[in-house]
Amino acid sequence: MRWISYFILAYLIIAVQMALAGYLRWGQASPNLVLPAAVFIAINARREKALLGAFGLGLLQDLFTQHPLGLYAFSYGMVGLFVVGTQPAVYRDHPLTHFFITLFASVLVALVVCFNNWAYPILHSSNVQSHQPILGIFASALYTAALAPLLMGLFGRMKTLFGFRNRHSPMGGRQSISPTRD
Amino acid sequence: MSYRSFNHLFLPLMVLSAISAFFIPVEYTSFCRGRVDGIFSPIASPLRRLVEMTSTRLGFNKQDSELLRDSGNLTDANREIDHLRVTVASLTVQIEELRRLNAGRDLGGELRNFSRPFKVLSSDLAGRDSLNIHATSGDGVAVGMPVVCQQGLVGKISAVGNLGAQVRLITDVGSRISGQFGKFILQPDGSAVFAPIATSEPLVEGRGHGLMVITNITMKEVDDSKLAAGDWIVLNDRDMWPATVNGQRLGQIVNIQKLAKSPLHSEILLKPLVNLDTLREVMVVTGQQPTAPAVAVKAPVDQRKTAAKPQAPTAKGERPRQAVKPAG
Repeated sequence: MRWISYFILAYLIIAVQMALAGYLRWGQASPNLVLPAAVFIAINARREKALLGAFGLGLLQDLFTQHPLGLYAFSYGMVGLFVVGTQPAVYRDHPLTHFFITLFASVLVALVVCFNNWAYPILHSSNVQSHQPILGIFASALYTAALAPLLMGLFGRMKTLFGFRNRHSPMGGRQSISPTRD
Repeated sequence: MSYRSFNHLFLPLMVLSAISAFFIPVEYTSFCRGRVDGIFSPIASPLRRLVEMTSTRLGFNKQDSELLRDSGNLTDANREIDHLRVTVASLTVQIEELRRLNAGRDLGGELRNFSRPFKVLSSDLAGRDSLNIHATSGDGVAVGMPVVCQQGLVGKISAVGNLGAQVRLITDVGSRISGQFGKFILQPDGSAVFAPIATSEPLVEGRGHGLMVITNITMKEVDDSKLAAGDWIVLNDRDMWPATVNGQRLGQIVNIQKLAKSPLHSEILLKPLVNLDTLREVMVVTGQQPTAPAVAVKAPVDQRKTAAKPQAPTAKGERPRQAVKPAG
């Protein structure tokens, strides 16, 4: 993966999310446009770059929220681990793949956020409960997944700019990243 | 990089982020916020303006304007009256407060004299209720400063850096403010007076997604004080907020129902009069009177005095609407 393309994507998607956040809200649900970008990187790039790419996007998103720093970096790292694991088993360019993987990723992020909302006040002996409505969190996950095929279809058209290596190419894919497990 | 050595890099990153997210208090990790906001503004600001214009034209924010119109049974042209009512409510509460304070110890009076306008860059990227604004530490903005808009209180500065600042909105989950109910009562002579409604001190808690809730008022108190949808709630928190912003409108009651967990208590749902997520500009109460920007004018020496007139403060990043021209 070309890192320059990754940084341009990260810049653009964060800027677009900044611009549209608040306007795309539907009831309690607000989409997360950064997550499909993280899934796109994780589903296409090699393991190392996919994990670092997803983690980096989460860290960038952390800079613009009221959540504790590192929450989204951690969540997106988890998403990266999950999506990288599914790479060999999925058809990467199919909209249904985009929808279901993003849905699963969104639910994973939602679970981590809910757990943080529950655990943070306990760990810090704070009497201020910061419970976000759980229904809203999961509605946002569904909203994000619904937008994912559109966004990832758009990213897919620019795939060549990222220089992802084909899974079956001699130097790429599982051959080159296969773990040297003992 | 081998599989194993990469794991040795990635695993500590994940552990560090988990420790930061769960174990380190957010006050210690927010130092890095507001450092990169401005980098994204070349794309985010014009796009946000475009989206705002489009949503206004298509009537997507019609609900907000209707809420604003319904606030005092007033019609369209009386937006200014609504603004004056906020000022009257604020000053009514401030007078009580100032009686208790020594002269000169804290600020009082009209808020616009002590605040600076700043453009809004974006709202929160992860569904929380916050705003990223185009204010920096160099502008005299500091953590904890109140933020207001024409329709009332917006929130508080939660982080500030060299390239931006974050505002935690009053509707954010975990936000807690003491308030005071009140309503405007029409006098026989036709004037409207802001009358506080006597109840025990309501604790306004943010519920996220633009909503606030009060759960510490009993149903009996609600009935006795005749609280109803449309009544105002204003800030009345002497400990956590400066006197200048006391009395600022937090929102209005949209619904009163019995609390599910305790039917003797009420659940009063409140909403600000505008969608705080989509504000275009906010005022940060810096406590200092804004100074007029220096105007460089090429004019003869005798005309310079007349040319450089103080101007109304403009939001940072926007040009003054009228350029000062030399006389003649």
